[in-house]
Amino acid sequence: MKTIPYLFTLLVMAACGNLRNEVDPSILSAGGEKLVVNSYISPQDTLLTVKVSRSKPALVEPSEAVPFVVENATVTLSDGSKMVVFSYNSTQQFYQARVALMPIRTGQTYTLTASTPDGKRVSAQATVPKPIPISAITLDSTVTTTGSSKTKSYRVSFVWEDPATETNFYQYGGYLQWKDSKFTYPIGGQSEAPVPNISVLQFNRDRATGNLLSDDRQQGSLLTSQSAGVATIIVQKSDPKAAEYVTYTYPGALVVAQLLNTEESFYRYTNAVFRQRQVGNSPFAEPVLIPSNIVGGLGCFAAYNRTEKVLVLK
Amino acid sequence: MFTSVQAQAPNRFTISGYIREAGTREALLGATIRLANRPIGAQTNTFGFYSITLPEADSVTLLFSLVGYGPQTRTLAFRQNQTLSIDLMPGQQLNEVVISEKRGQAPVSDSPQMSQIDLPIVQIKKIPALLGEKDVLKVLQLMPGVQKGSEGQSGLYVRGGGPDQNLIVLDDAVVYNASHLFGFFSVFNGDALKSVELTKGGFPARFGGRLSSVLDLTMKDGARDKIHGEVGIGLIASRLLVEGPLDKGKAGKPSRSSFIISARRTYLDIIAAPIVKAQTNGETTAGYYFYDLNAKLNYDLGPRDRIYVSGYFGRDKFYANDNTNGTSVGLGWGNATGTVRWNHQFSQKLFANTSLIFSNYQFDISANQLIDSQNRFVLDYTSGIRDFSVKHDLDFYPTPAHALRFGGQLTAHRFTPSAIVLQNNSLANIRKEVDQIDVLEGGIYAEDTWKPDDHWRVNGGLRLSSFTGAGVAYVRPEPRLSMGYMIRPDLSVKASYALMNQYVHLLSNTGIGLPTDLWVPTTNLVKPQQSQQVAVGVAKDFTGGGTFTKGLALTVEGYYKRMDNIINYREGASFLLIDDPTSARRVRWEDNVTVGRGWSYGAEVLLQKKEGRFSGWVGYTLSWTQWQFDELNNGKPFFPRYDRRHDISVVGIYDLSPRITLSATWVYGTGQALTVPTARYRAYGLSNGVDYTRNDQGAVTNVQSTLYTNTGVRDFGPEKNTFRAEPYHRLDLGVQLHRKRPSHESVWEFSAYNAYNRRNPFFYNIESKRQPNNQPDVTVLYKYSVFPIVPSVSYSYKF
Repeated sequence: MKTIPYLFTLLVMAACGNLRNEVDPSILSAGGEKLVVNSYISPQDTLLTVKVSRSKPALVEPSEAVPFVVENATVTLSDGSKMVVFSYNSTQQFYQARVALMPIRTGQTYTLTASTPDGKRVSAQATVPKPIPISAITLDSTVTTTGSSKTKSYRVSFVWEDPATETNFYQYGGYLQWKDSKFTYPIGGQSEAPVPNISVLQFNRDRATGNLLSDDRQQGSLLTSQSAGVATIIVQKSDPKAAEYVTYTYPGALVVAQLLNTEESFYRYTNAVFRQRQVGNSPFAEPVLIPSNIVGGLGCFAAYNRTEKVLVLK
Repeated sequence: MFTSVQAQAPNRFTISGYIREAGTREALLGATIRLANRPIGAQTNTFGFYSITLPEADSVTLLFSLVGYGPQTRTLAFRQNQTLSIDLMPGQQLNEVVISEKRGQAPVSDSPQMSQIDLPIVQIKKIPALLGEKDVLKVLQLMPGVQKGSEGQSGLYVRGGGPDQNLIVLDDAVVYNASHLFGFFSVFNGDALKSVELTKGGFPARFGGRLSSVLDLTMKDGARDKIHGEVGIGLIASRLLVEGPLDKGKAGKPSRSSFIISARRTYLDIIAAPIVKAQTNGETTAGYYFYDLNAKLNYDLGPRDRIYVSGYFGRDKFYANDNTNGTSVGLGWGNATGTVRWNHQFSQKLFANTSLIFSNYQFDISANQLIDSQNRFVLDYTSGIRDFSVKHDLDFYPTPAHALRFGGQLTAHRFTPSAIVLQNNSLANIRKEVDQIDVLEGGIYAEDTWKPDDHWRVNGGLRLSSFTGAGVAYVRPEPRLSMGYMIRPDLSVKASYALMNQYVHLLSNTGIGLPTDLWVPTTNLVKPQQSQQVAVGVAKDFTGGGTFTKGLALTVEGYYKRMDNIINYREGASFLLIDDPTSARRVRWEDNVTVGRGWSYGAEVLLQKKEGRFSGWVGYTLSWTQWQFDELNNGKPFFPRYDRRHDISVVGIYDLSPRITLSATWVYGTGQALTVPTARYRAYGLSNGVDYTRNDQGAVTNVQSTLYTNTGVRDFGPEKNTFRAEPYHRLDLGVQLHRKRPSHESVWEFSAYNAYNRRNPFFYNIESKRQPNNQPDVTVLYKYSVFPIVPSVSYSYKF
């Protein structure tokens, strides 16, 4: 067997050139400007609001000279027998109407329209789902001891009965409210009366869906929210016995759990927005199309029904 | 007396034996044995065994042939059962004049089987390849009905089915992830392979388990004459092969055993290591490599028994270490397969094979981070699948009109969708979460290749597939039928029907063969996938004519395939199950997939010449594929990304002289169906349901119900995948310089991938582009390409 010396040849790559090339935008079908309407109504509303904006072609200079928000639209809401015209609130940049003019009732279907002077006109319908009560709130606490201090963490989650005969879509949330009696810096030398303070609970993300949940594949069962951290208190050995209780740090603390029974259109829209954001710019992921129930436009008009349950912390 | 002979049925006798390659004595599969004067014959099975039973005769003349080998003729008196083993000489240029007198290959018209491609390994080695790495799967992509995914990817899309619907079998063992380097190379090292056969439709009953194709790869057994070796050096990898007998044979009594070992490893990391080190001042070491190891040995226990042991082991490894803070990250994946097979010849007519099979695919991520001088965070994540199978197959050749096969297989799968070990020694805390699912998949089958007369060719069969575990049980019959009618000895029409079930599913939302692609079982929520396919076709062999037409085979086929319960990721679902390993709630993979159906139809034309000085093929596919998922595209049907209207491939290999081989391929394909944004807008959502305002002291003054959250989003138009990428086309050129000596052979190869340097689209992306003079940025659409012209050189030496 002969030994053969191996020859290695160095390779000179041909000029690579640029592997990124700009494409003539004409190969994309240009999406013309469309009206974008977002509005969510419920029997618990204190004010009816509608957000109207516009879409812009994907490949045009992002000239902010034309804002997204549309301020000259005519927005109406009707329940089939009467109709209310919204007024524009330029501070909040939405259209609003008093609830007294158009009460939102369970089971009722509402029609929203929006039109602009340049002839664009969109409409959408929403039907108010029934309320679903929260069955129970669970408060859990965990204690970790390190050296002379003790850390108590409180978490909350809640459950509700999903109605067996229908498909339901939920969004849930909650907040912790307490009366804050101790200001670090009294104002004007006056002792202040306790005022309510609020912290919105951050629920663990249900994978990719935020606080959204559908009863898909768990029809009619007891549904559980993710858990949310309520408060963490650290007790030193030198602290008084009362410091062991959450109410020492958060006097008058109560947790308000909120359950929104929403329309499917709300769930699908919100979910898609969330997922599209999550996918970001990845060219390999399935692009997420955002559905819309706005006829002739984009966005979402949906109704929901909110229930609350209060847990007073001790 | 004359009448009594007439009344008596003629005696039948059987000839059986093995067909091997002369010299190495490698068993040859798919070789044909034909009667010289009638279209009656047989083919060797995977182990090179054949059996043919004929009426008694004074003499019969048998023709033994196989593509790439010189045929042989034997005339023998036929008054008793006989054993006849033949050694065929590998085809040589000089012999070709002789070869061409008789047909040197199995005519496509003489078989009921349709929609089947078998690739001569010799051709694969002559076709130019990206960076000189010969790739079996990429050559298959040049065949009609088989398409590639994205540029450079080795995944196969067969008749509208995805890469998840291909059963890839190496020596009876399923290979679950056939890609290296994120799909740019496949795991199969051509040096170690004896045959490659892809079935796209008209599946015989012995095959089952996937919807769209069966890719059957057989490893070489190893030469029995003497030690042979081959060394290959390429730009990114080197290869080494050693084969030979295990025991010394004597004159007239050849060796009873042989082995083969073949290895391949890339050296990108070795080249890149000093560069990475220099660029980061020695703070970082990082690299990537993959390797493959194939080994096989076989031993003759006696004239009727033979044992084969074969295995494959391959791995990809990516690593990055930060030397300053002791952080390291590793990513690894790979397959391991092992097969023990026992051939037993019960009689001249009955051949049995029993296999014990192991297959494993595992993907793992490890992260090891030093938090401070004493504390360390360790994460180990693995996912994978592991199989143990037992398989028993019987080949029975009762008469020349029938070739029966029956048998069964039972596989115990263990799926590990995710196994996480988290360790944080500051909390003295180890979390182990192992998710394992054990299921059993089985199949029994019977099939008969029936040749009732000189015209009809029928393969009919039934497979009974079963699946138990994960809370479900299925038993499903799968009827199969292929028929051919020979109008003339060189022209036949064919039709086939096949129903296939698939009980394991691949989660992959990218289609680019990522190691994170995850195999999962059927469960009570995700049903088995099922396909039904009908195909009709014409097969014609050209026997006469000049050098260029002789040996040409033309097949034209049309097919319609329906796929039910196929799965896809939900829009926006992530392909990793562990984006938040600390999440309180375990993620069910079922929640990330959605179930739908698909259908594909089309026509394929293949004009192929497998041997001769000039060989190659021209393929054309016209096809449509559509999917419909309730949860995708608002429930409306759409074209999946890899729907391809036109697909053309031209492959030519020309032996200019015994020393010089020229080759070229040209491919063209309709652009991918993609979803590209047309507009952008703000999506205003409802916040958690709480809105409140605070006064100057920070106290809450007003709790109300709604608040609009503001998210910039993209509008992709009303429907999915309505944008068509630019068409793909590419020319590859290659030249091989051979140097043959009696004791050794060397080959220099120079090739150019994408010879005319076309910028083929890999993906499109919308990005903002900076403008000069502080003008506002503009948003533009960019097309990204992967490979410009890629020249390469490689060298191989064989003894």
